[in-house]
Order: sequence, then C-alpha cells, then structure tokens
Amino acid sequence: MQYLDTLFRALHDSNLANNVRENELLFPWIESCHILTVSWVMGSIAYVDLRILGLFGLDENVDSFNKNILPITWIAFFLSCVTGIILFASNALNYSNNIYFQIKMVMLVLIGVNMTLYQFIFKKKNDPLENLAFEISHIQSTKAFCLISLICWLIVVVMGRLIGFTLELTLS
Amino acid sequence: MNNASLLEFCNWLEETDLSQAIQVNNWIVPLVQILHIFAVCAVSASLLLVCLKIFNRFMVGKTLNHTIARFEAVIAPALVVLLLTGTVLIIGEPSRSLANWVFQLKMLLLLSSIVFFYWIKKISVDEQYVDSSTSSISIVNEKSLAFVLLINLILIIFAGRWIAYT
Repeated sequence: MQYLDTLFRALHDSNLANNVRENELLFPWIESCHILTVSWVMGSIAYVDLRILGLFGLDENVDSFNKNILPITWIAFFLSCVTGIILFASNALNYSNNIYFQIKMVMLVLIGVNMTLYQFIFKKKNDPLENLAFEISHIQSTKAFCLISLICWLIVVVMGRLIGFTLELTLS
Repeated sequence: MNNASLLEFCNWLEETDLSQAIQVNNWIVPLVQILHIFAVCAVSASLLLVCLKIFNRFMVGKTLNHTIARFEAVIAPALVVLLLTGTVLIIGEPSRSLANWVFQLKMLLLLSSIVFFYWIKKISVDEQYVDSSTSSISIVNEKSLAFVLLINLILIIFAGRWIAYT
C-alpha cells in the first residue's frame, strides 16, 4: 500500500497534474472528453453483451457484429483511459481515498479478469470435435460472462457519477 | 421570453412543491442523473454507430435503412428517458439549467440532432426506391449530415458537462 501512496503522491505532484489543477479550463475539457468516450465504451459494450445474451439484433451474426463493433470499443476505451488517468493525476490523493472511485477500479479489474477468463475458456472449448453438451455449456458460459460484463460496466458508470458528488476538490 | 421573465419563471418553479421535494431528497438528483447518463450512453453510442455506418466503417454489408431501424429501436426510447429525467433535473434546479446559455445551446443542438437523424432516415428510406444511378447524390448528403450529426453529438455531451461549470 505504501508503494501505491508513493505512486499517487508522485502523480499528484507531476507537472501534468499541476497544469490541470492550475488551468481552470483544462479539467472540464478533459472531463468532457472522458464522458464522451466512456459513453461510447458503455454503449458499444452493451450492444455486444446484449447481442450475445439474445436481447438485441437477433438477426445479426454474433461474430461479424462483434468484429464490427469491438475496434470502436477499444479505441474509445483507450481514449477514456488516457483522459481518466489525467483526471486522476490532477487529484490523485483524494481520488484514491474515495470509496466510489475504489469500487469503480475494482469493477474495471473484474471486467479485465472476466474478459481474460472468457478468452481462455473460449479458446479451450473452441475445438471442432466438441460434443453437443460441451457446445451448450459454452453458450451458457458465454452468456454468463456477458451478463457479468454488463453489470460491471453499469456499476462503473454509476460509480463514475457518484465520485462527482463525493470528491473533495484540491486546489493548488 | 426575455431574461427577466425567464428568471422569474425559474424562481416560481423553484418554489413549487415538486421542486422543493426534489431539492430536499438528496437521493433524487443523483439517481435521476444516473438514469440520464445511461440514456446518454445509449443515444451517443447508437448515433456514433449510425454515423460510422454512413462512413462505411461499420456494418458494411448491411443497408443504411437496416442499420437505422436497428438503432432507432434504442434511440427512440432512450430519448424519452432523456426527456423525462431531464425534466426532473430542470424542475429540481431550474436556475442552473433554464437560465444557463450552455443549457440553451445543448437543447438547440439536441433538437437539430433529432432533425438530422430523421432526415438521414428519410434519405435512407427514399434510397430504397431510387435506382443506383441517382443515389450518389443522396450518399453525399448522408455523409454531410452524418458529419454534422457527429459534431452535434460531441457538442451536446460537452455542453452537458459544461452546464456545471457555467
């Protein structure tokens, strides 16, 4: 934990963080970019998850729909991470102590673990010789992974909003 | 409505029982804002995907009409949610919203975006009945409209955030 505190202190004292704190307009601009890109991540992920869960676009082929949409999700996710890290750096000490921010980060880690596990299981079971029972369990586990992903993303957005209501502002 | 009468209206609205109830209950604004944000995500991602379809970067093998119908099923109810939750937020803090020029700009951009979206939809429906030799003109129109729609969308989300800072 001490390493994390040192890292957050270093981030907080960095030139970038100082610039964001000192410039009144910089924080709102970066925050707006963050919200825009998060809305694209959340929306596009929801479409992927809802399609696999069978709640959206049933006449679309799952694989081709995902292949179409996921590059957009990844670009938006990368941009939201960049803007998110800058926002975090500007007030790192308070963000790191905020319970909603902590829950948001835990959810993002869970999403990463969930995605990695899914890739692992998908690769393990993507065998042409797999039997029907195996196929059914694969479909069910895919749906379970998507449901977890959707719930985690919804919590990320909720926590993101609650941070704004609870964060103490630090002015340089 | 001039500024004085708008402020007078905001003051009246702020004193109503409904506005007072929203202000007194600390959980209403965060809850409604969260629902508002979910609807923003739905509309924002859907419009982005429709625009990307027009620029041939998404659902390349499908017709525009098909793509619009697919996402309109999400956009239309999400707009209703935005209207309802937005109304609650305005009643709760009328001076912060109605009298704010950024909010007024946001509403103008939102209305124009709805017009642009349904304009694109009309072109895509008409395109089904037009032979391919004349459709290049409408494709140019679609791309220009999609570009304006995308810029509008970005500005709406920026304005939504900037209301809090102005």
